[in-house]
Amino acid sequence: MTRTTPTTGRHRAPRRLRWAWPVGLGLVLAVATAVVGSGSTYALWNGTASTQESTVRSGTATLVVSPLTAMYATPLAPGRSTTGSFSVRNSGTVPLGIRMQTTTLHVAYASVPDSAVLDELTLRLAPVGRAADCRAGLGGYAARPAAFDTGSGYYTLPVGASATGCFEMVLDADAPQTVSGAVTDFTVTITGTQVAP
Amino acid sequence: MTARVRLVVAVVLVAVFVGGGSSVAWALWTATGTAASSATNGTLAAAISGTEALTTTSTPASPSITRPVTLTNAGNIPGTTATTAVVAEGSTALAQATDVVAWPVPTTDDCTDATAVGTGAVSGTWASLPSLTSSLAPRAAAVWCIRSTLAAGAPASATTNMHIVLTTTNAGWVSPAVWGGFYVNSGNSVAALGCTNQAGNFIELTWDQGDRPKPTAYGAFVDGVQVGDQQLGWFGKITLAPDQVRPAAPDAGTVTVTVRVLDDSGKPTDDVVADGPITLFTQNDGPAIRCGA
Repeated sequence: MTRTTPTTGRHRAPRRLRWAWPVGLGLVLAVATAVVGSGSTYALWNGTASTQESTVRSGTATLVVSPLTAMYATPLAPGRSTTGSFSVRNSGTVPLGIRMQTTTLHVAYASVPDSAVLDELTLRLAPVGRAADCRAGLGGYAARPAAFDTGSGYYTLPVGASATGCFEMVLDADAPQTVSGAVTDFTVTITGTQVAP
Repeated sequence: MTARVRLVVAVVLVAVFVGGGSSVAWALWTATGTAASSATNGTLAAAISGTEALTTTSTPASPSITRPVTLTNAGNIPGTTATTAVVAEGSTALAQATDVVAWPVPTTDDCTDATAVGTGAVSGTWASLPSLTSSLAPRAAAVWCIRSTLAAGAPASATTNMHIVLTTTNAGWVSPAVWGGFYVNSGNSVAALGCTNQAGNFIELTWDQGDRPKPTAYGAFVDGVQVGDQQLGWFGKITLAPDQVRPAAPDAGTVTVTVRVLDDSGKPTDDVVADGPITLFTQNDGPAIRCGA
């Protein structure tokens, strides 16, 4: 007669499944926390109450740009420049990061290609306290007119604040005489982008 | 998976769910405006006036003339004037023998014959006058007082058409050239010829050679026609027989003979050295010649 030894005692679960419990528990906690964080609940009991009437308004982003003062009145000689000032006011309700970029360029009365004229000019931008402070040689951001782009966030304009800028157009000191008499019309677009809270 | 890895997984999952479930978000609002203008590249131009008034006939007795000349920067950018004096036509010798001094004055009224030479003067001759240089704002003008003086030994009865050529410059830019013209004349205050009679058969002409070099060639002329042979300064005299003069003066009578400097090709120049009368007449039934009338 063969005797079979009965199996007795508790067996350990396979070791490879032991990690599932804490992970599952973590998932449950995560879901619960996410639900709480999202501000929503799924209570079975609901109650309602009314608050006093109120108005919710969305913010606004508004820039007011004053006209750029005339820069054509001083004709450019080699190495000389002309300046013009303008102001920007943030009349919206959010602070704005400012970017300035030439968006249109037109060359007239030139005996050479437009690029030959534009490659002899440099457009500079400098912040000034007031328009009267705008003068040649202030420095600041500078680039050829066709490449003028301060990039986003050149500076931040708080709500209700104004800033005055000074543009200076410089003709290269070694500009050839072939560009004399040319007229360059330019437009700088000023973009204010809401600064992320 | 170790306990540390499990913990990391759990934390990441919590962060993902909490962050992803959050309703916090924002929109980026923008606003734009424009600033526009234009820039004009300048041009250079020049203008000159008053030169015509320098035209005169000077003599040793009245050798000078003083007149204002106005140089204008007609461009719309600053410019510096630059001038050159050019003999356009006529006697270069006269231009070389006319002294010039020029100086800036405030206005044309400040330039008279009695005005003393002022500061900033330049001097030379009409053949080699330094630049009249002024730095001028756009549309501005400078007045230069110019005194032209016939020098001793200047050729008589000569004429020179002078141009003052003007440009304005800025850096490497140069305006188109403009010019103002005038005439420099020397009067007929020619020295008298020396003349020696040789019994009616011929005459011998002599003259003051001044500072002219000895190799200078001279010729005698009657009504523009050369008479006699040309001679160098080394010899210094020309003899004329009646037959040498008759081609230019076929009839008997008094004519004026003029001695001029000849150029390298033997042609007469404007440099008149001396002149005087001679007379063709008949003597012993034959042609004769004598000095004077």
